[in-house]
Amino acid sequence: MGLGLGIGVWWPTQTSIIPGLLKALCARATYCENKLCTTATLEEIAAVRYTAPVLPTGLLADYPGAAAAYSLRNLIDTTKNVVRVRRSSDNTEQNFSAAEITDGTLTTFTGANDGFVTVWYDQSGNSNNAVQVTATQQPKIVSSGSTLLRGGKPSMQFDGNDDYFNTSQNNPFTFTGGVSMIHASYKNANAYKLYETILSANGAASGTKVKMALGYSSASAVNPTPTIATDIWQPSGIQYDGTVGTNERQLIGFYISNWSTHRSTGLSNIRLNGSDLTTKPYSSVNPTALGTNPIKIGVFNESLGDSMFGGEIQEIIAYASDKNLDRVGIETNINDHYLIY
Amino acid sequence: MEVNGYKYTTEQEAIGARKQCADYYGLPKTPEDETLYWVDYNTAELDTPIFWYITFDDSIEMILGTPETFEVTFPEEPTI
Repeated sequence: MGLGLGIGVWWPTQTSIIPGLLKALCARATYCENKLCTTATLEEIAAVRYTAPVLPTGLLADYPGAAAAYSLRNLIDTTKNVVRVRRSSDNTEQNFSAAEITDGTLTTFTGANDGFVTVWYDQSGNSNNAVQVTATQQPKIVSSGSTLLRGGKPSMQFDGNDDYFNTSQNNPFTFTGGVSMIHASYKNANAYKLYETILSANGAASGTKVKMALGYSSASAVNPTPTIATDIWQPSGIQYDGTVGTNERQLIGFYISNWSTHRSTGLSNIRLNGSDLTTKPYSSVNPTALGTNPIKIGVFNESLGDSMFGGEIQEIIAYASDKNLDRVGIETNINDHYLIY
Repeated sequence: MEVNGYKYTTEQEAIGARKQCADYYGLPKTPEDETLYWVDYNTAELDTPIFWYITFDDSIEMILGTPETFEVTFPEEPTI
């Protein structure tokens, strides 16, 4: 029995065709009802097979919309390279995928030397790559031929002296918008400095410009210390009402619905290793409007050594939106990989 | 705060010293590479007169010579 092509050509009954294919075939068949189709055309129609689209997978597929996302693993399976590395032996640079960091390709490239990260590629799709153009300020990923590991996973070491990354695009956060920042890191054994910063936006090369930041503080304005704090230089942020130690791995999340009012009780959420923390504002100064200076990683002001992070970072994800409702899912995904807590 | 390094009265001098170090280490190695400099300079913008400096690193002593110690004014910790 035919499908009613009306052109006197035998057509098999397609009882097992899935709806999508049937729709496509019907469209072609309708075309053939009005035109004189050749056998070849009909065979072409019969050969059509439905192929389901392959959907991306990974944290950024499950929780899309990141403003920037940096990791030493694939946060979405379409990612190719995660870092660009300079080897110390002759300053040659090469890109590496997450798999190549762990399968020996990276250490084959460096030999028994050190490897430093020149670019930490943004996996968010926004191409806001983190770059350090000065050799002595590049975080280390290979030491004497061995990939640095923390908890058995690749890790990037910031020396706490002058290592950090710049990005090139304007600050993606808005003054009255949501902000979510999540990082998997390790604080080294050195005592916390006054304003150690994991990620900042609208920071500066020098001076005291208004900024947004998530990091650690032992500044006198904050109590107790050392602790997790936001916007510790302005100062106009909130802090964890407790302390954190050194020589620790930490998965920290910071979620707010509105930066301009984030000091208000109940509107902000700082989490450590899967638990909500008690927070409090540590100053009476409200945040002021943000400028456009780009995101920095590991610092908020290059001239201020006390804002340089000393430790290791494995992953940072930033959303210019409030991801409070997704906080458990996002952090579970990260912890399933890094096994921090 | 005391800094050990190399002090310059003009930014051009600091840029020149930065280039000396980059040239010594053959940077940038190719046009595609991201690494442009070996060390970078800072601006002591809170000092009068303003000056520029490169912080000492063992790897640049053979290029820039013996470092000196000098005072740099950094931003004060803000009060609430």
